[in-house]
Amino acid sequence: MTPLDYTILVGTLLTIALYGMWRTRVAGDLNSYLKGDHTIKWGTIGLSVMATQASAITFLSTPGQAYTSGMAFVQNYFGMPFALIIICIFFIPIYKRLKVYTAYEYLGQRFDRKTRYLGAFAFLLQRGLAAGITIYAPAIIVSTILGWNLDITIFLVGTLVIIYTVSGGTKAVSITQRYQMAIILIGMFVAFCMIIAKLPEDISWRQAVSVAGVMGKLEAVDFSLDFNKRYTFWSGILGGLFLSLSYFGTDQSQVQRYIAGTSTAESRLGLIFNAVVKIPMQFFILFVGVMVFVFYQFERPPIFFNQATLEMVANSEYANELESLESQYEQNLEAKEAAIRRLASSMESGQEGAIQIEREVLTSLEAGGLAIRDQLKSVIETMDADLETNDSDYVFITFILNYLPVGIVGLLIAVIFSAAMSSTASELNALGSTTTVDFYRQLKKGEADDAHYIRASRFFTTLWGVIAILFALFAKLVENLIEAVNILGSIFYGIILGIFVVAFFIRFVKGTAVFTAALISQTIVIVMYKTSDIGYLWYNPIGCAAVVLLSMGIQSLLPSSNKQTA
Amino acid sequence: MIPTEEKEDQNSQPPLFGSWPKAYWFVVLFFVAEVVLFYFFTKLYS
Repeated sequence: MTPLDYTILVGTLLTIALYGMWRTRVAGDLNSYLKGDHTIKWGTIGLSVMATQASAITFLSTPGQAYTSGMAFVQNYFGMPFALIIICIFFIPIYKRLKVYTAYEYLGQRFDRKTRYLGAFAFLLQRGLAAGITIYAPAIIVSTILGWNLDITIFLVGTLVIIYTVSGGTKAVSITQRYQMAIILIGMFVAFCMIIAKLPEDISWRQAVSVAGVMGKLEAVDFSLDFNKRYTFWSGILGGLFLSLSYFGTDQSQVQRYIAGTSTAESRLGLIFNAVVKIPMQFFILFVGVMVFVFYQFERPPIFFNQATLEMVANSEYANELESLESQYEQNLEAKEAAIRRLASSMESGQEGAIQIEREVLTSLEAGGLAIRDQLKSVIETMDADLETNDSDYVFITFILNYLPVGIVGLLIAVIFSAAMSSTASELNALGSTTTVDFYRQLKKGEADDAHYIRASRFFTTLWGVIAILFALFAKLVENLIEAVNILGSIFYGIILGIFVVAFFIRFVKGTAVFTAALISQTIVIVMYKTSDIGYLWYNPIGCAAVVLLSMGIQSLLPSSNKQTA
Repeated sequence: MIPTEEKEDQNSQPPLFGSWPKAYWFVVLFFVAEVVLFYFFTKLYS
């Protein structure tokens, strides 16, 4: 990175943060601090919801995923529009009518205090740990590639987020997210244009897309009912609906974004904006990854994109094996490039027979290239079983740093950190609000004014920010920490969604029944996790279904006095 | 009793679409159109 890139990077991040603080410099009441004083319009809500969901890893991993596996990942978002419609119809009117600050406050009004505490506690535990990972995940990748000090990167990014989130509350988070999202979208569009401009002159746009298609990278929709396939239309619709409903409907980091709307209509429009825009946006980000793949068919990509790991292999006893594999990979790339040019030429002249032959040659060469990479991954595993062999997160940033011009590099690193900061800000904002509203205000004895609760909210937001930074600093010392956080999230998420499903749709179930059902279900899920090999994503539907069924059963067994008052 | 202001807020209609059911149908139809386009895109280039 050049001084100009650093100037653009630091200037972009600081300007947005300072602008957010300046816009919210006048202190308001608690309502204003936690819900933005109901002055936020649908456009800001829409971008804020989008920015909260799109963490930095979205912009690092998604193009890398398309590079290795193609466009099929877009199907993962197919359930989201339907989940957002359900939230618009059922969730938003209730949250707005009851004027709640947090989603768990609604559980207190619908059921009882203990159910509210349970929901809020599960959120704090899960999201509190996830906030650390939101900072850590991009910091480790960018610092590895750029040679930055990881601890300082984590500290600086985390501190900047804490400052503007604590200073301006929900409104500052929403305002900064609007501009962070604008930088993200502009940056990705510029990256796309640069990739297209960097394709060889004798390869047209249509030929480039055709090459990607022939090499199996453009299969965006798969209607097969194969349960072994990770991404299909059906798994996207069902799994995506389930995950989106729990994330957008019950996670305070999202709920806080849309209940801040001026009115019910503004909140709904903000979500409808996401229901319409999110899938094309993900398609576009994946398409950027596919174009990076096409670009690398004409430029020599490294055999493994994580250069730090590659250097470790080069300096180890496996250096000769690496050299041999690199040589084989180089030959494979040369043969592939020649085959692609022949294919493009055959397409131009419309020779069907030649197209078919080159298609088969390319498929075989692509499989050969992947086999060579797999051999290298085996070598890395043999050398050190703790090293990460999935390099897809490093594909896009390697391209950015090696092929984009000065200035644009700084802009795209700003994209990555803007995404990290926007997600973290929402998380800290929600964690601080939930701790203040659902615990501190409930447990505090005696009356206190708004100023007191704003101070408390600022204190708790700072505290969660410090915990997130410490967790991110500690993360590198713990094996498979990201996966551990994901597992922890899945263990709790299904139970929380189950409580909300009962709250919204099963009116005869009361507090004691749902609380007992949630505890039993949580125990079942934890026992299953300890004793079975089932994939952890399945704990979401299992936990939700267990809460719904058990709460109905328990409620029907309770004495009639409990049915009335519980 | 729900206050009038709240009632108005809950009953307010979206711009452009006229009513919320129409807005939701727009989202569903937009999704169907996307999937159809993605399907033909997949078929065309694979």
